[in-house]
Amino acid sequence: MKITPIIYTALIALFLASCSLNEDAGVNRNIDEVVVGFDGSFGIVDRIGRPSISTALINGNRKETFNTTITEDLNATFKDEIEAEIIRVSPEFNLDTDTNLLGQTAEVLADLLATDVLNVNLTGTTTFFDGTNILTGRTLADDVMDTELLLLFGGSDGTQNPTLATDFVDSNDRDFSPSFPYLPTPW
Amino acid sequence: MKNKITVLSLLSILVIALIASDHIDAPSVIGDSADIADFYAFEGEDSENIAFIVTLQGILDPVNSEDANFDQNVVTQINIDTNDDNVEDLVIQAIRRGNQMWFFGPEAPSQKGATIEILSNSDIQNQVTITPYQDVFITETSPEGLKYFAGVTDDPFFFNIATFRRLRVGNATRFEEPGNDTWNGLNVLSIAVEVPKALLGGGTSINAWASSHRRQ
Repeated sequence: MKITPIIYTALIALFLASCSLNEDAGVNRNIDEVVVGFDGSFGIVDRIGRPSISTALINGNRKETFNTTITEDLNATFKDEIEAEIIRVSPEFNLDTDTNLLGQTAEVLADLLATDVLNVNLTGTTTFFDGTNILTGRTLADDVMDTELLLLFGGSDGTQNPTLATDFVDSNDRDFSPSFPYLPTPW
Repeated sequence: MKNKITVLSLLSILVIALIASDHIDAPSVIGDSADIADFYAFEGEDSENIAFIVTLQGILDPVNSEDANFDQNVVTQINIDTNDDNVEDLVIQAIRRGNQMWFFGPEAPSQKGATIEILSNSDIQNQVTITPYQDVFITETSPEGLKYFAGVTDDPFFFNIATFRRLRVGNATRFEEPGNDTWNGLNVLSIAVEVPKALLGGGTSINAWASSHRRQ
Protein backbone atom coordinates (compact mmCIF):
# COMPACT_ATOMS: atom_id res chain seq x y z
CA MET A 1 0.00 0.00 0.00
CA LYS A 2 2.91 2.36 0.69
CA ILE A 3 4.45 1.79 -2.71
CA THR A 4 1.50 3.07 -4.69
CA PRO A 5 1.91 6.77 -3.86
CA ILE A 6 5.60 6.52 -4.70
CA ILE A 7 4.75 5.14 -8.11
CA TYR A 8 2.21 7.92 -8.61
CA THR A 9 4.78 10.48 -7.58
CA ALA A 10 7.38 9.02 -9.93
CA LEU A 11 4.94 8.99 -12.82
CA ILE A 12 3.87 12.53 -12.15
CA ALA A 13 7.49 13.66 -11.89
CA LEU A 14 8.19 11.93 -15.18
CA PHE A 15 5.17 13.58 -16.73
CA LEU A 16 6.11 17.04 -15.48
CA ALA A 17 9.72 16.62 -16.52
CA SER A 18 8.88 15.35 -19.98
CA CYS A 19 6.19 17.83 -20.76
CA SER A 20 7.85 21.13 -19.94
CA LEU A 21 4.83 22.40 -18.08
CA ASN A 22 5.38 26.05 -17.42
CA GLU A 23 4.00 27.81 -14.39
CA ASP A 24 1.05 29.16 -16.27
CA ALA A 25 -0.09 25.72 -17.40
CA GLY A 26 0.62 23.78 -14.24
CA VAL A 27 -0.44 23.68 -10.63
CA ASN A 28 0.77 27.23 -9.93
CA ARG A 29 -1.69 28.92 -12.21
CA ASN A 30 -3.31 30.78 -9.34
CA ILE A 31 -0.13 32.85 -9.07
CA ASP A 32 -0.76 35.32 -11.85
CA GLU A 33 1.83 37.82 -13.00
CA VAL A 34 0.74 41.33 -13.93
CA VAL A 35 1.44 41.97 -17.61
CA VAL A 36 0.66 45.35 -19.17
CA GLY A 37 0.99 46.63 -22.69
CA PHE A 38 1.24 44.82 -25.99
CA ASP A 39 4.84 45.40 -27.08
CA GLY A 40 7.32 42.81 -28.22
CA SER A 41 7.82 40.09 -30.78
CA PHE A 42 6.08 36.74 -30.63
CA GLY A 43 7.45 33.61 -32.33
CA ILE A 44 5.31 30.80 -33.69
CA VAL A 45 4.78 27.77 -31.47
CA ASP A 46 1.87 25.92 -33.04
CA ARG A 47 -0.49 26.07 -36.01
CA ILE A 48 -3.57 24.30 -37.38
CA GLY A 49 -5.70 24.44 -40.52
CA ARG A 50 -7.69 21.26 -41.11
CA PRO A 51 -8.30 18.96 -38.15
CA SER A 52 -5.67 16.47 -37.10
CA ILE A 53 -3.43 16.57 -40.15
CA SER A 54 -0.45 16.68 -37.82
CA THR A 55 -2.08 14.02 -35.64
CA ALA A 56 -2.91 11.59 -38.39
CA LEU A 57 -0.35 12.00 -41.13
CA ILE A 58 2.83 13.61 -39.81
CA ASN A 59 5.36 11.39 -38.10
CA GLY A 60 6.52 12.21 -34.60
CA ASN A 61 9.93 13.63 -35.38
CA ARG A 62 8.41 15.99 -38.00
CA LYS A 63 5.45 17.38 -36.03
CA GLU A 64 7.56 20.18 -34.56
CA THR A 65 8.58 21.34 -38.03
CA PHE A 66 5.02 21.02 -39.34
CA ASN A 67 3.70 23.19 -36.51
CA THR A 68 6.22 25.98 -37.04
CA THR A 69 6.44 26.08 -40.84
CA ILE A 70 4.70 29.06 -42.39
CA THR A 71 1.59 28.12 -44.32
CA GLU A 72 2.76 28.99 -47.83
CA ASP A 73 5.74 26.61 -47.42
CA LEU A 74 3.83 23.63 -46.05
CA ASN A 75 2.89 22.05 -49.37
CA ALA A 76 6.42 21.91 -50.78
CA THR A 77 7.84 20.76 -47.45
CA PHE A 78 5.36 18.03 -46.53
CA LYS A 79 3.49 16.83 -49.62
CA ASP A 80 5.78 13.87 -50.36
CA GLU A 81 5.84 12.50 -46.82
CA ILE A 82 2.07 12.90 -46.44
CA GLU A 83 1.61 10.96 -49.68
CA ALA A 84 3.94 8.22 -48.38
CA GLU A 85 2.00 8.06 -45.10
CA ILE A 86 -1.36 7.83 -46.93
CA ILE A 87 -0.04 4.88 -48.96
CA ARG A 88 1.46 3.27 -45.85
CA VAL A 89 -1.67 3.39 -43.66
CA SER A 90 -4.36 2.70 -46.26
CA PRO A 91 -4.84 -0.44 -48.37
CA GLU A 92 -6.91 1.61 -50.83
CA PHE A 93 -3.95 3.36 -52.49
CA ASN A 94 -1.86 0.41 -53.66
CA LEU A 95 -1.64 1.62 -57.24
CA ASP A 96 -0.78 5.13 -58.43
CA THR A 97 -4.16 5.16 -60.16
CA ASP A 98 -6.21 4.13 -57.08
CA THR A 99 -8.63 6.87 -56.03
CA ASN A 100 -10.92 7.78 -53.12
CA LEU A 101 -14.55 8.89 -53.07
CA LEU A 102 -13.53 12.30 -54.46
CA GLY A 103 -11.60 10.69 -57.33
CA GLN A 104 -8.29 11.68 -55.72
CA THR A 105 -5.15 9.60 -56.02
CA ALA A 106 -2.84 9.50 -53.00
CA GLU A 107 -0.77 12.22 -54.66
CA VAL A 108 -3.75 14.52 -55.24
CA LEU A 109 -5.08 13.95 -51.71
CA ALA A 110 -1.61 14.66 -50.28
CA ASP A 111 -1.37 17.84 -52.34
CA LEU A 112 -4.69 19.03 -50.88
CA LEU A 113 -3.92 18.12 -47.26
CA ALA A 114 -0.34 19.44 -47.28
CA THR A 115 -1.68 22.95 -47.81
CA ASP A 116 -3.07 22.90 -44.29
CA VAL A 117 -5.76 25.59 -44.34
CA LEU A 118 -9.51 25.60 -43.87
CA ASN A 119 -11.21 26.71 -47.07
CA VAL A 120 -14.18 28.81 -45.96
CA ASN A 121 -17.11 29.69 -48.21
CA LEU A 122 -18.42 33.23 -47.66
CA THR A 123 -21.50 32.85 -49.86
CA GLY A 124 -23.17 29.61 -48.78
CA THR A 125 -22.99 26.45 -46.71
CA THR A 126 -19.95 26.08 -44.49
CA THR A 127 -19.13 22.45 -43.67
CA PHE A 128 -16.21 20.04 -43.68
CA PHE A 129 -18.47 17.54 -45.47
CA ASP A 130 -22.26 17.25 -45.35
CA GLY A 131 -22.79 14.70 -48.10
CA THR A 132 -23.04 17.43 -50.74
CA ASN A 133 -20.64 20.24 -49.89
CA ILE A 134 -17.00 19.38 -49.17
CA LEU A 135 -14.32 21.50 -47.47
CA THR A 136 -16.27 24.76 -47.33
CA GLY A 137 -15.58 25.34 -43.63
CA ARG A 138 -15.74 23.42 -40.36
CA THR A 139 -18.65 23.53 -37.94
CA LEU A 140 -18.52 22.24 -34.38
CA ALA A 141 -20.83 19.33 -35.23
CA ASP A 142 -19.04 18.18 -38.39
CA ASP A 143 -17.76 14.63 -37.99
CA VAL A 144 -14.44 15.68 -39.45
CA MET A 145 -12.50 12.59 -38.52
CA ASP A 146 -15.03 10.35 -40.24
CA THR A 147 -14.62 12.50 -43.36
CA GLU A 148 -10.85 12.12 -43.24
CA LEU A 149 -11.10 8.38 -42.53
CA LEU A 150 -13.59 7.98 -45.40
CA LEU A 151 -11.22 9.70 -47.83
CA LEU A 152 -8.32 7.57 -46.59
CA PHE A 153 -9.93 4.15 -46.21
CA GLY A 154 -13.29 4.21 -48.03
CA GLY A 155 -11.99 3.46 -51.52
CA SER A 156 -13.37 4.90 -54.73
CA ASP A 157 -16.99 4.15 -53.84
CA GLY A 158 -16.72 4.99 -50.14
CA THR A 159 -17.77 1.52 -49.00
CA GLN A 160 -14.43 -0.20 -48.46
CA ASN A 161 -12.99 -1.02 -45.01
CA PRO A 162 -16.18 -0.19 -43.10
CA THR A 163 -14.50 -0.59 -39.70
CA LEU A 164 -11.67 1.78 -40.67
CA ALA A 165 -13.63 4.43 -42.59
CA THR A 166 -15.46 5.49 -39.40
CA ASP A 167 -14.50 5.56 -35.72
CA PHE A 168 -18.16 5.03 -34.71
CA VAL A 169 -18.10 8.32 -32.74
CA ASP A 170 -20.63 10.51 -34.51
CA SER A 171 -21.24 13.42 -32.16
CA ASN A 172 -19.88 15.37 -29.21
CA ASP A 173 -20.42 14.40 -25.59
CA ARG A 174 -22.26 17.70 -24.91
CA ASP A 175 -24.72 19.69 -27.04
CA PHE A 176 -23.74 22.77 -29.01
CA SER A 177 -25.71 26.02 -28.81
CA PRO A 178 -27.43 27.55 -31.87
CA SER A 179 -26.22 30.99 -30.73
CA PHE A 180 -22.83 32.59 -30.15
CA PRO A 181 -20.45 31.31 -28.83
CA TYR A 182 -22.01 27.98 -29.91
CA LEU A 183 -19.68 26.05 -27.58
CA PRO A 184 -20.78 23.38 -25.10
CA THR A 185 -20.73 24.11 -21.38
CA PRO A 186 -17.79 22.63 -19.46
CA TRP A 187 -17.76 19.49 -17.33
CA MET B 1 -8.85 13.79 0.08
CA LYS B 2 -8.11 16.83 -2.03
CA ASN B 3 -4.55 15.62 -2.57
CA LYS B 4 -5.82 12.23 -3.60
CA ILE B 5 -8.12 13.73 -6.19
CA THR B 6 -5.27 15.84 -7.54
CA VAL B 7 -2.96 12.84 -7.79
CA LEU B 8 -5.57 10.78 -9.60
CA SER B 9 -6.33 13.68 -11.87
CA LEU B 10 -2.69 14.16 -12.80
CA LEU B 11 -2.40 10.44 -13.37
CA SER B 12 -5.36 10.49 -15.73
CA ILE B 13 -3.76 13.38 -17.61
CA LEU B 14 -0.55 11.39 -17.86
CA VAL B 15 -2.36 8.39 -19.30
CA ILE B 16 -4.33 10.48 -21.74
CA ALA B 17 -1.21 12.39 -22.76
CA LEU B 18 0.55 9.16 -23.57
CA ILE B 19 -2.27 7.81 -25.70
CA ALA B 20 -3.43 11.05 -27.26
CA SER B 21 -0.46 13.34 -27.46
CA ASP B 22 -1.28 14.45 -30.98
CA HIS B 23 -4.32 16.58 -30.24
CA ILE B 24 -1.66 18.11 -28.06
CA ASP B 25 0.52 17.49 -31.01
CA ALA B 26 3.96 19.02 -30.89
CA PRO B 27 6.60 17.36 -28.71
CA SER B 28 7.75 20.68 -27.28
CA VAL B 29 4.26 22.05 -26.62
CA ILE B 30 2.64 19.06 -24.93
CA GLY B 31 1.01 20.49 -21.85
CA ASP B 32 2.09 23.94 -22.99
CA SER B 33 -0.14 26.98 -22.76
CA ALA B 34 0.43 27.75 -26.46
CA ASP B 35 -0.75 24.33 -27.67
CA ILE B 36 -3.62 24.65 -30.14
CA ALA B 37 -6.12 21.80 -30.05
CA ASP B 38 -8.57 22.70 -32.83
CA PHE B 39 -9.77 25.39 -35.21
CA TYR B 40 -13.29 25.95 -36.56
CA ALA B 41 -14.70 28.43 -39.11
CA PHE B 42 -18.36 28.48 -40.05
CA GLU B 43 -21.29 30.71 -40.94
CA GLY B 44 -22.85 32.22 -37.82
CA GLU B 45 -26.42 32.19 -36.64
CA ASP B 46 -26.56 35.50 -38.51
CA SER B 47 -25.67 34.41 -42.06
CA GLU B 48 -23.85 37.72 -42.62
CA ASN B 49 -21.17 36.56 -40.16
CA ILE B 50 -18.41 33.96 -39.93
CA ALA B 51 -17.57 32.46 -36.53
CA PHE B 52 -14.00 31.45 -35.75
CA ILE B 53 -13.21 29.22 -32.77
CA VAL B 54 -9.75 28.23 -31.51
CA THR B 55 -9.34 25.72 -28.68
CA LEU B 56 -6.13 25.59 -26.64
CA GLN B 57 -4.42 23.57 -23.90
CA GLY B 58 -6.40 20.42 -24.63
CA ILE B 59 -6.76 17.49 -22.25
CA LEU B 60 -8.15 19.68 -19.48
CA ASP B 61 -9.58 17.60 -16.66
CA PRO B 62 -12.57 19.14 -14.81
CA VAL B 63 -10.55 19.00 -11.57
CA ASN B 64 -7.96 21.33 -13.10
CA SER B 65 -10.40 23.55 -14.99
CA GLU B 66 -10.96 26.02 -12.13
CA ASP B 67 -7.31 27.10 -12.33
CA ALA B 68 -6.88 26.87 -16.10
CA ASN B 69 -6.18 30.12 -17.90
CA PHE B 70 -4.82 31.65 -21.06
CA ASP B 71 -1.13 32.61 -21.12
CA GLN B 72 -0.52 36.36 -21.08
CA ASN B 73 2.63 35.86 -23.15
CA VAL B 74 0.94 33.93 -25.97
CA VAL B 75 -0.86 35.51 -28.92
CA THR B 76 -3.53 33.36 -30.55
CA GLN B 77 -3.87 34.48 -34.16
CA ILE B 78 -6.56 33.71 -36.73
CA ASN B 79 -4.98 34.04 -40.17
CA ILE B 80 -7.11 34.96 -43.19
CA ASP B 81 -5.91 34.61 -46.78
CA THR B 82 -8.23 36.53 -49.09
CA ASN B 83 -6.53 35.84 -52.47
CA ASP B 84 -5.74 32.11 -52.32
CA ASP B 85 -1.97 32.34 -52.02
CA ASN B 86 -1.86 30.88 -48.48
CA VAL B 87 -0.32 34.05 -47.06
CA GLU B 88 -2.23 35.90 -44.34
CA ASP B 89 -3.77 39.14 -45.66
CA LEU B 90 -5.78 39.80 -42.51
CA VAL B 91 -5.33 38.62 -38.95
CA ILE B 92 -7.35 38.61 -35.76
CA GLN B 93 -5.23 38.44 -32.61
CA ALA B 94 -6.24 37.49 -29.06
CA ILE B 95 -4.18 37.84 -25.90
CA ARG B 96 -5.09 37.84 -22.21
CA ARG B 97 -4.43 40.72 -19.84
CA GLY B 98 -5.66 39.98 -16.31
CA ASN B 99 -9.25 38.75 -16.48
CA GLN B 100 -9.78 40.25 -19.94
CA MET B 101 -9.21 38.76 -23.38
CA TRP B 102 -8.17 41.48 -25.83
CA PHE B 103 -8.88 41.19 -29.54
CA PHE B 104 -7.26 43.13 -32.41
CA GLY B 105 -8.41 43.11 -36.03
CA PRO B 106 -9.30 41.87 -38.57
CA GLU B 107 -6.50 43.99 -39.96
CA ALA B 108 -3.51 43.56 -42.27
CA PRO B 109 -0.59 42.24 -40.19
CA SER B 110 2.47 44.43 -39.65
CA GLN B 111 4.62 41.29 -39.91
CA LYS B 112 3.67 38.15 -41.81
CA GLY B 113 4.96 34.68 -41.07
CA ALA B 114 6.43 33.05 -37.97
CA THR B 115 7.28 36.13 -35.90
CA ILE B 116 4.55 38.67 -35.27
CA GLU B 117 3.75 41.82 -33.33
CA ILE B 118 0.46 42.73 -31.69
CA LEU B 119 -1.65 45.15 -33.75
CA SER B 120 -2.29 47.40 -30.79
CA ASN B 121 -3.01 50.35 -33.10
CA SER B 122 -5.73 48.46 -34.96
CA ASP B 123 -8.92 50.39 -35.71
CA ILE B 124 -10.84 47.40 -34.41
CA GLN B 125 -9.90 46.43 -30.86
CA ASN B 126 -12.14 45.21 -28.10
CA GLN B 127 -12.11 43.04 -25.02
CA VAL B 128 -14.30 40.53 -23.23
CA THR B 129 -14.19 39.37 -19.62
CA ILE B 130 -12.95 35.77 -19.55
CA THR B 131 -15.85 33.64 -18.33
CA PRO B 132 -14.98 32.16 -14.91
CA TYR B 133 -15.18 28.34 -14.87
CA GLN B 134 -18.79 27.12 -15.01
CA ASP B 135 -20.29 30.63 -14.96
CA VAL B 136 -22.85 31.62 -17.59
CA PHE B 137 -20.91 32.41 -20.78
CA ILE B 138 -19.95 36.11 -21.00
CA THR B 139 -19.98 37.59 -24.50
CA GLU B 140 -19.43 41.08 -25.91
CA THR B 141 -20.55 42.66 -29.19
CA SER B 142 -18.47 45.49 -30.63
CA PRO B 143 -19.69 48.61 -32.49
CA GLU B 144 -18.42 46.96 -35.70
CA GLY B 145 -20.64 43.93 -35.11
CA LEU B 146 -17.97 41.51 -33.91
CA LYS B 147 -18.77 39.11 -31.06
CA TYR B 148 -16.27 37.80 -28.53
CA PHE B 149 -15.97 34.97 -25.99
CA ALA B 150 -13.13 33.35 -24.01
CA GLY B 151 -13.25 30.70 -21.30
CA VAL B 152 -13.32 27.03 -20.34
CA THR B 153 -15.79 24.91 -22.34
CA ASP B 154 -16.33 21.25 -23.00
CA ASP B 155 -13.84 20.15 -25.67
CA PRO B 156 -16.02 20.12 -28.81
CA PHE B 157 -13.71 17.66 -30.57
CA PHE B 158 -14.82 14.02 -30.78
CA PHE B 159 -12.72 11.10 -32.04
CA ASN B 160 -11.47 7.71 -30.94
CA ILE B 161 -7.87 8.74 -31.22
CA ALA B 162 -6.69 6.03 -28.83
CA THR B 163 -7.61 3.32 -31.34
CA PHE B 164 -6.37 5.37 -34.29
CA ARG B 165 -2.91 5.56 -32.76
CA ARG B 166 -2.90 1.79 -32.26
CA LEU B 167 -3.97 1.37 -35.90
CA ARG B 168 -1.06 3.48 -37.10
CA VAL B 169 1.51 1.26 -35.43
CA GLY B 170 -0.21 -2.03 -36.26
CA ASN B 171 -1.59 -2.78 -32.78
CA ALA B 172 -5.23 -2.66 -33.91
CA THR B 173 -7.01 -3.63 -37.11
CA ARG B 174 -10.33 -1.79 -36.79
CA PHE B 175 -12.36 0.72 -34.76
CA GLU B 176 -14.59 -0.88 -32.14
CA GLU B 177 -18.36 -0.53 -31.95
CA PRO B 178 -19.77 1.31 -30.12
CA GLY B 179 -17.30 4.12 -30.60
CA ASN B 180 -15.30 5.50 -27.69
CA ASP B 181 -14.79 9.28 -27.72
CA THR B 182 -11.37 9.88 -26.19
CA TRP B 183 -12.48 13.42 -25.27
CA ASN B 184 -15.58 12.38 -23.34
CA GLY B 185 -15.80 14.41 -20.12
CA LEU B 186 -12.83 16.67 -20.85
CA ASN B 187 -12.65 20.45 -21.18
CA VAL B 188 -10.55 22.89 -23.16
CA LEU B 189 -9.82 26.63 -23.22
CA SER B 190 -11.82 28.25 -26.03
CA ILE B 191 -11.64 31.57 -27.87
CA ALA B 192 -14.55 32.50 -30.14
CA VAL B 193 -14.87 35.56 -32.36
CA GLU B 194 -17.64 36.20 -34.86
CA VAL B 195 -16.92 38.62 -37.70
CA PRO B 196 -19.13 40.25 -40.33
CA LYS B 197 -18.27 38.74 -43.73
CA ALA B 198 -17.90 42.28 -45.04
CA LEU B 199 -14.70 42.61 -42.97
CA LEU B 200 -13.13 39.48 -44.51
CA GLY B 201 -11.80 40.81 -47.80
CA GLY B 202 -14.85 41.09 -50.00
CA GLY B 203 -14.36 37.85 -51.94
CA THR B 204 -16.46 34.69 -52.13
CA SER B 205 -14.12 32.53 -50.03
CA ILE B 206 -11.10 32.68 -47.75
CA ASN B 207 -8.42 30.29 -46.55
CA ALA B 208 -8.02 30.37 -42.78
CA TRP B 209 -5.77 28.85 -40.13
CA ALA B 210 -4.90 29.47 -36.50
CA SER B 211 -1.45 29.93 -34.99
CA SER B 212 -0.02 30.58 -31.54
CA HIS B 213 2.99 32.77 -30.90
CA ARG B 214 4.98 33.14 -27.66
CA ARG B 215 6.76 36.31 -26.50
CA GLN B 216 10.44 36.14 -27.43
